[in-house]
Formats: sequence, C-alpha cells, structure tokens
Amino acid sequence: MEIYQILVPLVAVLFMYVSVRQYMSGRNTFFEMFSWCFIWFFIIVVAIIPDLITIYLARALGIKSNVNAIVFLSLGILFFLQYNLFLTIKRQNKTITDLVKKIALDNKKELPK
Amino acid sequence: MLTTKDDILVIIPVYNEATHIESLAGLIQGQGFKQICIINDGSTDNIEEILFEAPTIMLHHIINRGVGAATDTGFRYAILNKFNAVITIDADMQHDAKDLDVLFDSYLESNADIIIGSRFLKLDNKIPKIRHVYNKIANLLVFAFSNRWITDTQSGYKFITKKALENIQLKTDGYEFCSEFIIKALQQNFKIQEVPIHVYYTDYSMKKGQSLVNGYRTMISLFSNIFFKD
Repeated sequence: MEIYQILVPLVAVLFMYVSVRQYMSGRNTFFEMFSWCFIWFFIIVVAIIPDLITIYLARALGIKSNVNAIVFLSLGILFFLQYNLFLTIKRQNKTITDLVKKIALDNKKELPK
Repeated sequence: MLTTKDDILVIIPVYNEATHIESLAGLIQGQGFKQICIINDGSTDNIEEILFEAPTIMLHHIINRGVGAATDTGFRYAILNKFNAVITIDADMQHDAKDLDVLFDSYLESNADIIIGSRFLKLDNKIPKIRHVYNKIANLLVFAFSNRWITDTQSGYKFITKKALENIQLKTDGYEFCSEFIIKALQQNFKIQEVPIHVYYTDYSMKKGQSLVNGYRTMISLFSNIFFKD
C-alpha cells in the first residue's frame, strides 16, 4: 500500500465530515451534502483500488490509457463546475445591481414638474 | 410629440467626481437644461455632502456597480418620471455642455430615436491615439453584431428618446453598456444618427476612462452577456 492510499481517504473523510456538519447546521441542503459525500467517496474508492476503477473507466469511455481516462474525466467535471460557478456569479452580480438600482430609486426625492 | 428642454433629463453617472460635478451641473443649466439627474455610483469622496438646488436630483448607489448600471438607474428614473427624452453626459468634463444644443437640435431636425455625439466626426478634436484604437475595436465589435458602422460607439454623450429607453433593456454594468445599447437599438430598428461633438482630453480624464484592462473586461462581459442568458 502506498502512502497516498492512506492520506487521500483521510482527507476525503475529513471533507465528508465537514459536509455533514454544514448540513446539520443548516448551511447546506441535503442534496449538496449528498453530492459532496458522493464525490469524496468516489475519490476514496479510486485511491484504494486505483487500477480496477481507472481501467474500468478507460474501457467504458473508450480511452486507451487509464491515466488519460481519469485526466479527461476530471477535466470534464472541473469545466462543468467552473461553468456552474460562472453562471452563479453572473446571476448574483445581476441581483446585486438590481438591488442597488432599486434602493437608489426608492430613496429618491420627487422632482417638481 | 414636441419635446422642449424641460422634457429632457440630463443624466450624469458619477464616480468620485465631487470636484467637478457642481460646475458641470451649472454649465448644463446654463444651456437651458434644468432637469438633471446625477447618479452617484458608490463614490468614496464627499459628493453626498454637496447640496444641489431643485430640480437637480442625486440618486445614490450604495456600492459601486459601474457606469452602465449607474446610467441605467438614470434611465429608469426618467421612465418613472415620464420624461420624453434623456441626454447622457460624462462627468469628467471631457464633453462640452454647449453640445447639448447640438444633440437637441439634431433630434428636432431628424426625429431620430438616438443621437450619438461622435468625437471622431469633429476633425479638430485632439484625441489620443490609444483612444482611437480602443474605439475602433469596439466599433468593429458592434459592426459584427449589427452590420452598421458607427464612428463612436463608446461615446457617453447621447440623446435618447423615451421610446428607445422603454424598449432597450440593459444587462451589462460597466463600459460595455455603450456597445450593448447600440447593438440592441439597431436590432430593434431604432433610428440612430451621429453628430460631431467637441471633446477635451486631460490627464485627469485619461485616467478615468477606458484602459486596455478595462477593454478586455468589457469585451469578455459583452460576449458573456450575448452568449449566456440569465
């Protein structure tokens, strides 16, 4: 057993614990907690039995090397998360601007016409 | 509908311009345009302490959201208060208040929906080369989306009728709103006219205007708003 096969699951378990704590304290939804736990669980499985999982993934995706399969899959997930983050920030920026405009207009003084 | 100067709201988006704003408001009123709306876009100077005489009004953005957002607040104010048209002008004194009449007269003659004050149609304007470059790039972008060549898409000096204001919904907050506004106006077949205006660049106004980094941000923001819906 390699050292990373102990370290990675330990870190993953820590993050799973954090996700559960955030859900318990009401800062996360159940779906968010479940999604993060699923991702970390997948990382634990890959760390413990790397060859079995990655070779299966490579065959399933039609990619020759198991390392390439993991890299491509990770990139895909990262791009998806990045896109979600981009849309969230864009929506939040718009909400903030709309709010700032509304406050400005609500606090106006009437013009004599 | 016949529009008089009293039916026109002059919109001035302002960010840290406390030193200029009073004299600019005075120059505008000296041209007979009494209705002024100053939008303080989260300035950190002492602009909130300046007391303007009615009918000038100041709206306050509690935080800085950009010149596009501030101008749009002015547009919404004009619609809510039933003004027939607005004129937008930059607060950094690069524009000549006398050109307000040039825009207004052009509207009376042409009945266009939008009159753009073009810095590049007046040949004796001393415009820094870098501004020529930024503007050409922005013009090309607008041309690509609208198939119409406008000589000064980034001009902050514009006359806009109520009809155009009510139909053009802005989504961008920064300098990119200039391009967005023209692209949307052309897509909706609004009549756009350009008239030559004076422009006076100083070290101060050069610092306040668009830079290469701003231009890059503007382009990314404009593209993201065109290609990604809310």
